[in-house]
Amino acid sequence: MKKITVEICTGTTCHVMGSEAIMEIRNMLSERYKESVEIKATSCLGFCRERQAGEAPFVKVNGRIVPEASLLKVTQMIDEIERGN
Amino acid sequence: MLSDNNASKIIKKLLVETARLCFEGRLEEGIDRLVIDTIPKKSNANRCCVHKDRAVIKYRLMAILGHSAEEEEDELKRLSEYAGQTLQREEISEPVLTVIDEACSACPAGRHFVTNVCRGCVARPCMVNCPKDAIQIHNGRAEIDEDKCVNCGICLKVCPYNAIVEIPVPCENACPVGAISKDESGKEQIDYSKCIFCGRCMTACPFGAIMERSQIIDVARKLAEGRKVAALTAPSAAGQFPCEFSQLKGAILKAGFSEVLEVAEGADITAKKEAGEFEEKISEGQKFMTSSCCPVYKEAAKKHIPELCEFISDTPTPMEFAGRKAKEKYPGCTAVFIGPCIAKRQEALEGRSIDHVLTCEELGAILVAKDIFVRETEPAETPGQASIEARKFGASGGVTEAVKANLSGNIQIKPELIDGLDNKNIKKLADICTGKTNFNFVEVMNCKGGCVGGPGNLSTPARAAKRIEKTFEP
Repeated sequence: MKKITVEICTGTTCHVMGSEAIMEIRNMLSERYKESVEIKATSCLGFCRERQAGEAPFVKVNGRIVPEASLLKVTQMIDEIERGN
Repeated sequence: MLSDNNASKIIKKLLVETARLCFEGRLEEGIDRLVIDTIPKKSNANRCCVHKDRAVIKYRLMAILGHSAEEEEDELKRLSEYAGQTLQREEISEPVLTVIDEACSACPAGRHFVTNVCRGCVARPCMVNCPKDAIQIHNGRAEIDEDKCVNCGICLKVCPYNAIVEIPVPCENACPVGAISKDESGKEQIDYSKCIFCGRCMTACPFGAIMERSQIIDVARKLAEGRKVAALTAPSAAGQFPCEFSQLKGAILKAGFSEVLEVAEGADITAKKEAGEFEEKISEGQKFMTSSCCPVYKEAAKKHIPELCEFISDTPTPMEFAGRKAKEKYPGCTAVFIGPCIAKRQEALEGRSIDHVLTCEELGAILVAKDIFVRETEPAETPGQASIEARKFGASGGVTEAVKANLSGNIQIKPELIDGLDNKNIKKLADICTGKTNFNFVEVMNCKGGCVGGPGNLSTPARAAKRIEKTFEP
């Protein structure tokens, strides 16, 4: 199974806009992902400063940006990468 | 407030943008445009159309500017005029909450409803057990006659398929004291003779129709003008950002506050005095004493359990002592309390030592508006010293521990904790006034988990408590 890295931004903007709630993804992933998905809290990814990549909170899944991230959007991105897209 | 929730996200975005306009000195000029920028013409409407969404945004901005949606007399009055008033005002007025009737969806009154899970079974326990003969079977499915139904809930309990649901009105359901109810048009309104400012209706409403009247612009303006503004951080605020507390202090100073004072310093005075008062009152024969720091609890006692008032400690709250300290140490300063609490706004209005109250969420909005990144900020230390016990005041059980640490040892403390002021606990508090008790000190926290569970927070209670623990481990 592919290794998937989820980086959750803990910069102030992302934090205020609710990035901490996405940490709960640990408990919501299906069993088959438990081994292959690594979840990390990172310092500011800088996307909010650029103001072009969309809106906070930001999460990076294997380098792909998920703007306005929610549990749903991040889970969908993991599924997409797993399917090889 | 619940983070992953679109209603709260909209409000937070507006807080950030409004504060940004204020810091840029363009509040009056830019505030009307913010409505259209937030809901552009071709966006997907949350409500019936973009125009309704925009109308709601306007009222939200009124609340963020510190006004009541209810005070609107002329619908043509522009936000820039309201902003102008906010930039001029020196006094904050009651009430601390506002109901945006344009946003209120006038949810149908709580009733029971048969879903299509119903199989129209032969046993029909719902029909047989209904005391009002309100259930009939039509087309193979149970139906409730609303004119006859008294919402007793028996049908819901006896259905073997869980096919019957009770549809609540979220705000009314959340209010522990019956202070919010419908007016003749079905929209909600708050009865302030009953309201205890707990904020549950605000967090419960899925339409975000209940808002606080913010003081963020009052504070932002004073920061922008370079006035002497002291930030008084509640013990629970220490755990609200993903950084060291010393970095948060650094960030607050960077935002333009002239001083940071931990309210925990005030909590040390409260704990000491409360311990003394406890020993005195118990030795005089009073059967128990309760804590006094939670303003929601005191409001609830005053308005709903008057017989409890004589048992509440007379000691002023940590916020009050910290405010007095700030005014003494930094003469002429504006004292801004920063915490998770709505009721502290009311407490501040009634007292004299605190000028403004911000929630942690609003502090976050100020930091974002100023492009301050707390994790990259130079740590700062404050001159004052607070004990570890005082710094843990904001988590349930913390007040008891702090009082314990200050006892002289003459009286044995037998503590009881009321963790969360729901209907059941309000009744319990009323009962202990008359009945026999096997405790002599009661700590009452309106929010479950203590102040770390407050409505104006950014982190979950568990995470916040853990950060506080980690920061202040000896």
